[in-house]
Amino acid sequence: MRKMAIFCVAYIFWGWGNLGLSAAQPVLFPEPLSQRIANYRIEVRLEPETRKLFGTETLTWHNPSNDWIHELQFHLYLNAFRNDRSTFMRESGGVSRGRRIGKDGWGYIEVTAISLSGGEDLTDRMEFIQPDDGNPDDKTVFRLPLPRPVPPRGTVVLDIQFEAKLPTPPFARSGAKEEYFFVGQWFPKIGVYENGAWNCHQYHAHSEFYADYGVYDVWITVPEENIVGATGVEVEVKKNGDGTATHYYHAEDVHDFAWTTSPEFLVYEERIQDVDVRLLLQPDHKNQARRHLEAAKVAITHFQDWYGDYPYPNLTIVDPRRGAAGSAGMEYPTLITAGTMYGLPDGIRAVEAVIIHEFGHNYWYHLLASNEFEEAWLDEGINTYTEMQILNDAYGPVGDVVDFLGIRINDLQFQRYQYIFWPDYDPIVKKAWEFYNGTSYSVNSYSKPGLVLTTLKNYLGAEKMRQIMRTYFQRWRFKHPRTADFIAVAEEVAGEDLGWFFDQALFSNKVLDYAVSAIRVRRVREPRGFDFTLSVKDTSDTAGVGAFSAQSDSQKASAAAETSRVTVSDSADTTKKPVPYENEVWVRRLGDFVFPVEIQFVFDNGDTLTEHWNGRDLWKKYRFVRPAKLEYAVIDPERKVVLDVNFTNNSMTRKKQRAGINKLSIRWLFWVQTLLDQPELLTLAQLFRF
Amino acid sequence: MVFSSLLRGIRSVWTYRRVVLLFYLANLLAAFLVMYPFRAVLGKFAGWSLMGKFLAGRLDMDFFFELLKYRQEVFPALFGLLMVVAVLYWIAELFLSAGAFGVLLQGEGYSSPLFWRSAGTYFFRFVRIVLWGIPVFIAFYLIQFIEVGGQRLLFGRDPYQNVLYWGRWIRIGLQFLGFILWLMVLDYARIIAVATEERRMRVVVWQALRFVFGHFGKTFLLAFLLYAGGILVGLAYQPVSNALSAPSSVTIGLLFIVQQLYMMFRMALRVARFSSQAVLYQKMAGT
Repeated sequence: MRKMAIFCVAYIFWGWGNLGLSAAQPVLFPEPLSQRIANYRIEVRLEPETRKLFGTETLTWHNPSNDWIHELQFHLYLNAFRNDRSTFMRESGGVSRGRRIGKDGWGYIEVTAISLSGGEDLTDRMEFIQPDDGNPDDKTVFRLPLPRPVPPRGTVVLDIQFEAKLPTPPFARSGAKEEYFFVGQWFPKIGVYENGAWNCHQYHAHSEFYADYGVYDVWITVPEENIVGATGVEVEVKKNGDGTATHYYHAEDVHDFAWTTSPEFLVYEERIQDVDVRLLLQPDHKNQARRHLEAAKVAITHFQDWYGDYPYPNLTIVDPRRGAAGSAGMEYPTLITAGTMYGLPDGIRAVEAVIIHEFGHNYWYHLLASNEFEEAWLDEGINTYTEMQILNDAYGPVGDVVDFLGIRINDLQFQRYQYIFWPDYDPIVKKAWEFYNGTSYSVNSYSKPGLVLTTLKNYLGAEKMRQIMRTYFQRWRFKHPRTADFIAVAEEVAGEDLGWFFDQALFSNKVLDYAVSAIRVRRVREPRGFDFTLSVKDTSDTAGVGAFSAQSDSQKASAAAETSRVTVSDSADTTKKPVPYENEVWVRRLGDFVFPVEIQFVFDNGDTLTEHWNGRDLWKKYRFVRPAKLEYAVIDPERKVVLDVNFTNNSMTRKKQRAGINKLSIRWLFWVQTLLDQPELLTLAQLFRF
Repeated sequence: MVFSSLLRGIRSVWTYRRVVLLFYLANLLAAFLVMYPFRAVLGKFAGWSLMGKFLAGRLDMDFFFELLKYRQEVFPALFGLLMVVAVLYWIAELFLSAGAFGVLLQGEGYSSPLFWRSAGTYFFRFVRIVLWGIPVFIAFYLIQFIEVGGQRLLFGRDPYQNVLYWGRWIRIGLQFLGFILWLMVLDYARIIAVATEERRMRVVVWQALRFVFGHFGKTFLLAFLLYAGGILVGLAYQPVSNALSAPSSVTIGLLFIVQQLYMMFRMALRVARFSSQAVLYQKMAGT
C-alpha cells in the first residue's frame, strides 16, 4: 500500500485568505489516519540575528468529546527558558542534558494577539495557569475562556499572533547556535481534552510532550541560502526577493511540528524501503554520512518488518551543529535529530544507537501518541526495548553498541548498568516531574522498562513478544494508549494473566534479586545412633534418603518455606558408584520482586539437573543424593531475567574460582606496572573525550 | 656518536643486569601492593561464583558493572593506594637510579657496594634535581599550548570538530615531547651530578639544560630512538598478550610470564637509556 498511493498526490489549489499565500496543498493520505483534532496553519519568519521568530497561526480545533467546552488550554513551551524562575529551570537547576543555558541565552514566547476567526479579540482573556505545581512564575500554560462554548463535536478556529526568541545554545531540545537553528516546541500549542478535562501540563525538566493529531501547513521564512528540514513534506520553496525564501511544509496525521535550518548542512538523500530519507549533516561529519544512512536503514527495515508500516513518505535526520548538543537525540514526527563527533570510532555505535532510538519514537510516541508527561515509559521504555532488540539483531550478539579496543558491551548491558545503581527509587509508572530526581526519571523511563520488557520477552518467548508489540502498535496507532492498554494487549496475546508481573514491574519499586547463598557437599555416611541399621547402599536405593537429612530443622523454623526438594539419582547409578554424596544448595530471594526462575545444578561427572522455582518463598533448599559432587549451582543460567540486579550472586561453585580471579588480577598488576613505569601514558586518556 | 652510544648502552644491559633486576623488582613490588587488595576484593566478590570462572576468558561486562556497583567503596581506596604507591615508587626509583648512575659512570661493571654507596650518596642530590626540575617541567608542559594558540589564531573560537580532533592529537604529541625533554634534562642532570660531583643542583640542572639543547640533535635522537624502541616492543607485545586469552590456568600463567618479560624489557630499556646517555655525555664532555 502505503507510500505509492501516498505519492499519487492530489493537489488542491486554494487560497489562503488570511495568510495571503497561495499554494498547492498536497493530500498525503486520501483517508485520514487519525482524528485530526488539532490542525495548524502557521506562517513563521526567522530573524537569525536576534534568534527571534515572528509567527501567525490559525488553529482549527475539533471538540472530540460530548462536552461543551468553555475554555481552551495551550502550551507555551519556550517560556520554560524565560527566566530562572520557571518550573523547568527550578527543577533542572538550569542544567539540561549536561548543558547550561548561555549567559544571555534566555528564550521566550509571547502571544501578542489571539482572536476567534470571526475577528473577536480574546487576547485579554488569556490567563497563565500552573496546573502541576502552582508556581506563579511559570508561564508555560495558559487558559483561554471562550465567549461561547464549543459544542460537542463542534469546531473552533482561532487566529494567533506570536513572537518567540530561541535560547542559545540549544537547550532542552530547542534553540540556536550561530548559523544553526533547531526549532522545536515553538508555537502556541493546544492541549489535549480528554476524560472531561484538559490535559495540559507545564513544561518540566524531566518531561516531554502530549498532543492530538492534526494537519500542519507551515510556511517557514529563512535566509535564502539556508537549507531547511522539517516535519512533513516540502511542497514549495519561494524566493521572496529580499534575501529570504519561504519553505512550505505540509504534514498530515502528526501531533507536532519541528524544523531546523542552517546554511551549512550537507544534504544526503536515499530511499530506504518505501521511505525517502534526507540527511542534513554538519560539514564536520561528512565522513560519517554512510554511517547515518546505514543506521537509518537498520531502523526503518527492522521497525517496518517487526512492528508495522511507517505510513509517512519521508524521514529527515538532522545532525546538530558542534556546540548544539542540546538539540541532539530528539524525536519529532518524521524528523529526528542524531548527534555525533568527528573521529568517533566505528566500534562505538553511538550514532547508530541514537538514530535507531529516535526513529523508534516515530512509532512509540508519534504513531502511538502516549502521554509523555504522565507515562514516559510508554514511549521511552518501549522504545529502549525495541532499540536493544534491533541493535542486537543488527550488530550483535556481543558488543552491539561498543566493540572497541577489545571491549564489547551490549546495549542491554548499558541499560542494566544504569538500572542496577537505581533499581528502587520509584516505580516506573509515575508522572515525569514526580520522580526522585532526573536519574530516577531516566532509569524508570528508559532502562528499567527496557529490562522489564526484555525479561517479559524471555519469559514469553521472542515471537510472542513480537506479536504483543505488533498488536499493540496496530491497535493503538494514531490514538493515545495508556499503560492499561499495553497490559491488556500483552495479556490478550500471551493468553495469560500477567498482572502478577506488571504490578511488580510497573507499579512498584520492588527489586528482583535471587542468589545461591550456600552449597554443601558431603559424603553420605552410615546412619549412626539408635534405631538405624540400614547401610549406605540400602539408603541410596530407596526414595527415603531425605529422612536422614538435617534440612528439616531450618525449614521448620520458617513456616513460609517450602518443603525441601529431594532428588535422588536412579538406583542403577548408585549401585555402580557406592559412594553417594549429599549435595545441598540453598537459594534465596533477596529482593521482594517474585519471579519464577530456573536453577541449574551441575555435577562433577557432567550431570546437569534443572529445577524451576516459583520464587515465592524467601528461600529454598535443594538436596540431591548422587554419586557425584555438585560443581556449581546457578540461578537463571542464561541470564534471561535481566531485571535481576546482581548476576554475580546467582551462582555458587564448590571450589574457589582462582583462574579468573588470577587473570584479572595479573591484568591489573600489569596495568599498574605500566603506569608506574610510564605515567605519561595517562595523557592518552584525553583521546576518549568524545 | 649517537649510534655508538646507543649500542654501548644496549650492550651494557647484560653487564648491569642486576640493576635491571632491582628496577624490575621495585616495579613489581609496588604494583603488587596495589594488586593484592584488588585481588582480595575480586576473590571475595566473585571467587565462589561462576563469574569468577568466566573471568578466565573474556571480561564479562555484567560482572564489571556489578563490581562497580557492589564494591563501589573500594575504588576510591584503590585509587588512593595507587597514588601513595606511585609516590613511594618514584622515591625508590630515584634512589635506585642514584646507584645505577654511580655504577654506570664508574664503568667497571656492577658492584653491589658501589651501587648502594652511590645510591646513598646521590639520592638526596637527585631529589634536589627533581625539585629544581619542576620549573623545567612546567615550561615543557606548556609546550602543548602552542597548539591551542595556533588553533585560536587560525580557526577562531569556534573551530570545526576535525580541527579540535587533530589538535588534540597534536597536543598529545607535544605533551609527550615535553615529557621526553624533561626526562632528558633530568637524566643528564643526574649524570652531570655524578660525573662532576657538583653539589649545587640548580647549577647541575642548568648545565643539563645547556647540554641537552647545546647538542639537541644528538641528545634528542638518542632519547627518541630509545623511546621509539619501547613503543615498538609495546606494539609487538599487545597482540601476543591478546592471543593469550584462553580460559586455562596454563594460558594465564603464560600471560603472566609474557607480561613480566615485557616489564623486564622496559626496565632493561631504562638501564640502556641511562647507560647510553652516560656514554654520550662522557664523549661529548670529554670526560
